Amino acid sequence: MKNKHIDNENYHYIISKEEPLSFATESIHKTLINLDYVNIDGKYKVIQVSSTISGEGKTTLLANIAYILRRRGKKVLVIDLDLRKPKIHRVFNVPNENGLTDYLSEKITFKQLIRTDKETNIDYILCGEKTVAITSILEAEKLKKLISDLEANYDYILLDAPPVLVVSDALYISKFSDGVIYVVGQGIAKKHEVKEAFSTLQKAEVNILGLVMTRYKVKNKKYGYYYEYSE
Amino acid sequence: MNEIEKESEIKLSDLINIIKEKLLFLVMITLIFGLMFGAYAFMIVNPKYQSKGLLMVFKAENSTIVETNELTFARTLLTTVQGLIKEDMIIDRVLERNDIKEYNLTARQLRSNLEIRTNATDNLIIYVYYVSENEELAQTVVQAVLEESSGYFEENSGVLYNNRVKSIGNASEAVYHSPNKVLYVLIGVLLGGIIGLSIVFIKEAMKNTFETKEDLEKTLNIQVIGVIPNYHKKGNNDEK
Repeated sequence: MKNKHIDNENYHYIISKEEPLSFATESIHKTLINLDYVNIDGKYKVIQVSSTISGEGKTTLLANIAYILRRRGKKVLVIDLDLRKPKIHRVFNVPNENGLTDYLSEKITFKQLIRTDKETNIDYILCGEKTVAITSILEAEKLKKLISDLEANYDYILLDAPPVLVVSDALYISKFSDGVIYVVGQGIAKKHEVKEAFSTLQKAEVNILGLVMTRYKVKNKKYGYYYEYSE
Repeated sequence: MNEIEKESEIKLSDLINIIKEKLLFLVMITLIFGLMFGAYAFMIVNPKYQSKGLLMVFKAENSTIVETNELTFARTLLTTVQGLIKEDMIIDRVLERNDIKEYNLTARQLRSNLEIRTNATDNLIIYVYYVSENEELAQTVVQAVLEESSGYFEENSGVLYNNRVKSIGNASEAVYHSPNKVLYVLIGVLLGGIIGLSIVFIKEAMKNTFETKEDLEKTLNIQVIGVIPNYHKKGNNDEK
């Protein structure tokens, strides 16, 4: 079922990089400031980004967060754990090869797995060749070990997870993450869907770091970069 | 926890914003209805024309009215004439005229398009109107009614106590009567506006998605740490 909200989204366009003075970038900065408060003890290193359905802006937000954190000098790793609809390769504009699935099936080495994007200096791990055995991959000890090994080398590990309502993958992924940023796109998922997905996470005792409302349509249109959006 | 979800209030500013957002749709639907009704009025409905004629009751010398208040009685005569014109005795005469026969009217048609009006409180004039798609027909019928009524009351003078009914002038040339094209278009526009607004507001009321940070926070009971506006890649600056 094609989600009408996924238009020609250009994942490679990282707005905090391309338009650092824009209101959108400013909003992302504010989000990170709030995240810092939540993470004041520095406990949350492995952060999962999830949402109710596709097209709400998870991957875009994640890419921007990764960029800003990296600009601050933090060591950031992005892992594409949306094994059904991987998108991180589109963020970095590379083919979806030599990824997690290839590593777990021992086709490539650890060194080949982790790549660095030249433009943004962010480290990333792609999904790799698509497979059907997704649950077994997510439950694999090897994956768990990989992430815990990597934790030492990075300040932040950001996990791109699939939407909650669609598949139960997000729940498996939450086992390796310290916390979840839950993305809700304005006017996209129905309220009861969001509530259902969210309560699924809560029942699994997932640590929700906070909600982010994305794709917010600004009410008062003025020219220039500054808009008022709060009442 | 509070299980009852409070329905968010609808503010006027929200309504105005909704209208602004859907302005194109509203304008289009208003135009469409206006055009539809306009097309109907201008092109489909057959225009009708109306001719007018005037009759008056004249007091005769040998009038047999014995009445202290002549004016009151004059008014009674008016309404008598008004009532009688549409009856068979005058209508049949009208239909039998040669100039009417060629139009092949039925008595029913004639009566339904014929209107006799009096303004008894203000004046002693009897107005005769006929509406038809055919301008000539309208005028001919009115003229016929004027002539036949005066003729009838002349011959049957007892009915009006020996008073006379005469036409003042002749039947007027038929003028445009209906449809009121401007009115149709206005009604179309108004209807389009109402229907458009109803559609927009109902759709909005039925929308059950999260629209605001406050709603989200309240419902899920977790802090919203960020609100990111919708944006497109530089080049298409407009937000949808």
